[in-house]
Amino acid sequence: MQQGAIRGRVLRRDGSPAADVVVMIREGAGPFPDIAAVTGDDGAFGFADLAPGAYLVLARLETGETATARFDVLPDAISDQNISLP
Amino acid sequence: MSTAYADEEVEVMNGQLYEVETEEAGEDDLDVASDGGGAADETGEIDASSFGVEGAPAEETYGGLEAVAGFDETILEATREGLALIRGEERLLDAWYADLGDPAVGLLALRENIAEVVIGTDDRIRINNTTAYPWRTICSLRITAADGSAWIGTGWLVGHRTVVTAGHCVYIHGRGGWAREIEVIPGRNGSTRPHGSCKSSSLRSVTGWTKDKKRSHDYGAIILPQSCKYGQQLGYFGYASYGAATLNNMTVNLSGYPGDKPSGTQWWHARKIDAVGSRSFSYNIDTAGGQSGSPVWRLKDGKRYAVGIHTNGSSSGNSATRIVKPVFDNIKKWKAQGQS
Repeated sequence: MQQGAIRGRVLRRDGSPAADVVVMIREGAGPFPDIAAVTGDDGAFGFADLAPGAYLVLARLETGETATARFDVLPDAISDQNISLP
Repeated sequence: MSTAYADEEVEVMNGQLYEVETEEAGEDDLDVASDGGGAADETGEIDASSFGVEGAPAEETYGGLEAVAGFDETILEATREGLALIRGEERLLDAWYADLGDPAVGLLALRENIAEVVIGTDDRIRINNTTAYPWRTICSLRITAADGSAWIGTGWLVGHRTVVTAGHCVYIHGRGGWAREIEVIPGRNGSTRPHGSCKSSSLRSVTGWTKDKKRSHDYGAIILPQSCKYGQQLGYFGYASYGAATLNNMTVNLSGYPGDKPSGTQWWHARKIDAVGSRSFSYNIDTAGGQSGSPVWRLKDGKRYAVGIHTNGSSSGNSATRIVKPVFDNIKKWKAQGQS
């Protein structure tokens, strides 16, 4: 089965990228590694080698605030969207 | 002459390959259906022979569960389906309502397409006393990938300077391969680092993971520098390779550093193994991103034996790389490399 990927940026309310945010796959259509990304200054994150289907990605700030976004992974494609912090 | 298991050639970070002296490759994968179960394919146990300078745990233990206050043992008998019904649906709908509009549609779509890695009521328990054994031997990992991206994971001491973890914590496909550096923080408790931390670029895995990206070979290790003999001080885990019949329905413990909890806090959970494959097994233990590499262990007669390395969340059950004979043998070799 061809796999897909997820990528995006975590953005603050003003649209600027958010660093040091922990990002992980929370729920998913297929198996996924339980490693979490930590965003850099560009707010970027990404997860590869995912079975096609729907995924819920969780971003968590040091403060405990969270934000989520749904990604629909297609075969051999990258699902690209940002996660906006509250 | 030595013969390597297929895909089990051990690889070190500098690209040097060396063969592991093993059986013929065809015997690598256990035939669960035909082995008759039981002791026939059990490799044995390596005792958690050292509690380190810090000493033995003070608490009594009972059955296969760590003595962690607040855990409802009756939940061990609950099935995945039962747990899903127990938990409220509201949290699920929160995530989906805006997107799908009709809650009923959202719920149907959720059940069909999504499964959680936190299953049922979230009864994970925070470990506050991370200076006690075995919690102090479980390490928070801060990983810098080759492309400079940052990740968090978990590892566990198996010897003086050897930390076992997931293969995808030491070698990250799509991110340049071998991690540039990993910071190991044993017994981390939030912002507190009771034993400081050490960094290492001396990493281990197998070609089945690094070259072939096989889930079945998703395991690795970190060798700490000579100045960081954490295992000597804190003790370490034993490990064991058991047959499928022994593993099936075994109560196992899992503890690590989930990213959905306050930064750097250690959380424990326990359940029974509910499915055993030739190179992995699954369970309804709640996990989250950051727990890759966590030990999955059996508590027997007061001793801890890791039986798996947690790697994945999945709709069919969160899962670990099973410690089968080739994995057992490689952990033994990596432990020896870090024992001096």
